[in-house]
Amino acid sequence: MPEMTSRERVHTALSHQEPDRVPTALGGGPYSVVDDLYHRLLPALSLPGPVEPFRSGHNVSYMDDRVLELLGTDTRYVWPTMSPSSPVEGEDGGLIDGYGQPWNRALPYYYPAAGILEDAEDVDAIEERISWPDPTDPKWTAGVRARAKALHEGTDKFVVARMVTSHGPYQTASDLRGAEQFLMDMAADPEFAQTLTDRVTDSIVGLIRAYLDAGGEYFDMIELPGDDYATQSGLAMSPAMFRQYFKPAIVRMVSTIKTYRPEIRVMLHCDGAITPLLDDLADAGVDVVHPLEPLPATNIEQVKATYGSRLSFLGAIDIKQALPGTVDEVVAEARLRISQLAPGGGYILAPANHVQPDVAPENLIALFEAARKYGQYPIRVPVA
Amino acid sequence: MADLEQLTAAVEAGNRKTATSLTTEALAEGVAPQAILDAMTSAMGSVGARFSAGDIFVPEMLIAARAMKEAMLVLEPSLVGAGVQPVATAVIGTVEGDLHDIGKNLVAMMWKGANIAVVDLGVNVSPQAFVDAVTEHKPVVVGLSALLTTTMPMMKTTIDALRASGSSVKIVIGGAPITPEYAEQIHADGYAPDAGSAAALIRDFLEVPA
Repeated sequence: MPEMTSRERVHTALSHQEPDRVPTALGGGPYSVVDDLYHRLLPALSLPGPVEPFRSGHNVSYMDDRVLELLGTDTRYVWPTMSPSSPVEGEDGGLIDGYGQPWNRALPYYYPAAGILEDAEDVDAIEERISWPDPTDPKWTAGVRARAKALHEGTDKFVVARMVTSHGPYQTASDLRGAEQFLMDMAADPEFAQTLTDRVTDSIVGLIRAYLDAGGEYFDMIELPGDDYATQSGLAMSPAMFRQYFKPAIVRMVSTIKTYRPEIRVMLHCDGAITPLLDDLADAGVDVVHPLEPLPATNIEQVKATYGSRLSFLGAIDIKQALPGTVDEVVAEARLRISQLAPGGGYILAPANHVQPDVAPENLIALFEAARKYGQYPIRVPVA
Repeated sequence: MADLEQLTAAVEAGNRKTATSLTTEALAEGVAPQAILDAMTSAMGSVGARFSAGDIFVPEMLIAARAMKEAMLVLEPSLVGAGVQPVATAVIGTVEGDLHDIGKNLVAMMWKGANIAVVDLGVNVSPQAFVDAVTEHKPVVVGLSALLTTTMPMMKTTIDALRASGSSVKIVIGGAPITPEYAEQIHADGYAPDAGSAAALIRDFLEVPA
């Protein structure tokens, strides 16, 4: 087969057909590299120095196309200038996000402080206490159009619009209300849970629309804000509750994008053991699911056999044991996931989450070399 | 006549208003506080079992625990008056370096639901703080929680510190990355995959019927 361009390769895979080889990705909202590893990757790739960070106050701060070029990945990214669910330093030195919710720093992550709606007794507090972002403010999308146009016209890469905000309706509502309180609302105060979920979704849909207006004609895929409906061992809520509150929110976000331009692919990030929700996600119009975490509770072969004709998967490369291991273990992981997920297309090889400081640069380089070597179609399944 | 079966059903369903009013009624009618308590612990026992079986999820478990907690505020003075004590004391916390608390809180709730006095040390708890709490409260069980693979080794450090202090308290561990093999490897006395099982585990240690 003649070599495809990156854009052709990814589109072919996401159309559930076999391209020339398995496409690869690094740098999205939930599958980039932490700054520590970025700085160690530069000398390993013989690059002189870092690019300007694309944001501050975070531990994933660099979007460096030179690195992606040398690693040979197929996707390139556009990002919103600001994200309402990412905390920034306020005037008093404390951390506060775009909704007005205070956060505590606990490097390398942040944790929401007591939710600003935690003690709210009625739905009026949802409008009164939260500073809902104004999606018409140009600050969210400054620079998006120029970069999207440059990537679309000046390269043959697959253009991905990073998520407009890190957290989707479920997690944002949990940040603002307190996770336990929101879970209880879902069971015992459906009016509050529904009103808050709808209001967060309104806000995200507004930001997605602004993003599309800015650069949508050049996007090949959009990442929806991440929402973890599952833990490592199972669902955080019943499928019925997911269908009641969050599936309609996903449908609204997807239809905003597909109404603008149906060809734009939609990716949803959802950690954990989410197999029982995959049917609903496909039904809601999601095209690509990240990360399909390799977990004891998830049978990847069975997921591929059952949902592989309706959903594509991005990710699946274990960052906890395989990537921090030996180069041989990294190569074995790449071969395993390719054999499980790549046949018939529908798979983009990528890390299951941000690659952490415990990973050697050589391992990340080896991952993408292995993907190129063993990802040639037709896939030859390694003999165990 | 207040119906204790209805009280059990109200706690199971997380109906806090009904649970509280049935408790008030039962007390007014002279029902023994121990019988009222048993109706609630029985509800939480079946909530734990249904959670472990995957029939209900975290939201339903949380509202059941909340219903019992609120009804207990009504019942507690009468329990004290009747000399009813918790069956045992447990200490629980998320190990040092780890700030996750939902799983730990669920286990604490389920233990309280089994009429165990729970001393919750919170998150990011140092090994020494566990040792001090064991000395002070003399629990039968200590529960250690961790969500991250990077903080799991702190469970071993904490167990070693408790053993070095001379304590023979039962130590049980849990959290997303924990396996029974890991529990055995670091010499924990028990492991539970979820909060419902954690309640069953402590009942086994105490030989309390479910």
